[in-house]
Amino acid sequence: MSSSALTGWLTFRLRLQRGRVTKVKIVSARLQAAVLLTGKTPEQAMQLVPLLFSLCGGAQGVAAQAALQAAQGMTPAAAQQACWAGTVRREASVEHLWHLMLDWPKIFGLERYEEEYVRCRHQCLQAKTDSDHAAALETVMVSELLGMPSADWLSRDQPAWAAWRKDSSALGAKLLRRLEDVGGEGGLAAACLPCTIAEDWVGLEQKIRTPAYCSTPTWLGQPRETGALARQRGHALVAPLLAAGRNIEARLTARLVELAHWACGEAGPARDWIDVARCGQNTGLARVETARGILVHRVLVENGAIGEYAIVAPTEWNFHPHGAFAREAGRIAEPDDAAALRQAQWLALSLDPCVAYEVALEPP
Amino acid sequence: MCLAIPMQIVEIDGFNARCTAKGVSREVSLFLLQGEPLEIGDFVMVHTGYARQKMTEQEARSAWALYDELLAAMETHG
Repeated sequence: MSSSALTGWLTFRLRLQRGRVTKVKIVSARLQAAVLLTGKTPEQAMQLVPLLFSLCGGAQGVAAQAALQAAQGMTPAAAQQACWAGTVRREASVEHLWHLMLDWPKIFGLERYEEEYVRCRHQCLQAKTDSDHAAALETVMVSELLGMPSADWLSRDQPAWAAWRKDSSALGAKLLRRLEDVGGEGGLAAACLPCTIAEDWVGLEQKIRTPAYCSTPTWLGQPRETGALARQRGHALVAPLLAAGRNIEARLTARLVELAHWACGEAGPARDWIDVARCGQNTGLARVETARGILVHRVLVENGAIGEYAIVAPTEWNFHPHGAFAREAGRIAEPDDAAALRQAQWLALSLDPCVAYEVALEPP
Repeated sequence: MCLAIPMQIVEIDGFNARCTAKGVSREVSLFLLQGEPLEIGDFVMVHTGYARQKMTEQEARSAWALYDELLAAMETHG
């Protein structure tokens, strides 16, 4: 057993027949590490959680603090909640930027914006205030992603937005142009998770206790999509793409929309990002919105130590065996196998698993 | 979950480093940590080949203590 067993990975196995996907199987080697926190004190857990999780360490740390406090009967002060929300949002912004400035250019064979990304990441993570964070984002939105102020981009009507998409040399438009004509069957294959508050998850807390639910979560018995698309599905720039079945493009646009709003200083109330609920005595639950979607921590504290710890993470929703990836990949029908494989790779990236992954072909 | 692996830097060549943990050696990119003073012997959190964050030796030891428990449990339960 080695460290590679710890990091986890996903394999998406597709069977193709003349460009049509006939079978999708998701093989997951991801660990439920939350169980390791059992027996630790709340203080130990709060120190350990940010050290364990790499991409969303800030959000995981905030969720741990919030859930542990709730379990101990504490309600976060407004200033504390605002501070947590700022941490979560700054981390979400650098994850969106990584996705757009490094991952998508790489898969399309375009130049990666490494220097620009590193500079903006540093400024975002070091930002002391929301306005500093917004200013750092706006710089990169104007210079690289949109080629114009975010407020102007967000206020464009459909024809003006289509003209930007067609003609702009900004990275955001270049990426969207590569996705032209991808998709076509209207509607999402898996419905989105609704907007929830922590209290909405209390009814599920007995399920959340179980490893089976944490690795294959459902809402009202169904797998759901979570992430930027779920949050922005009603936005004027995103909804028409969804209606046209251009789901990959809709996910990418949803991330641009979120970044543009944050660059305008429109971050929304702290409770949109993080809130807590108590589930009876000694049990707390925190709900956090991350770049990849909803993150739920549930913790039971007994006699000063953690009795149970469970985490439901976004990747488990989107890569559920019957979830967004599996269902949408199952709809792929292209002129040839190479095009179908390419589209499956784009689909996986649009849902952005938080671990290494590969899309592999099964023999027919 | 996206677990990060604490590793120790043993060689640095520009933005590339060779890092080790538990006797395993890996090439790791330091490009995300430009501007941070990094030296041989420092500890970093590594995910998919990138050093994401600098950490103290004590933090690395704490994380590995937990991972050792997990690995032992995996070997016990298959």
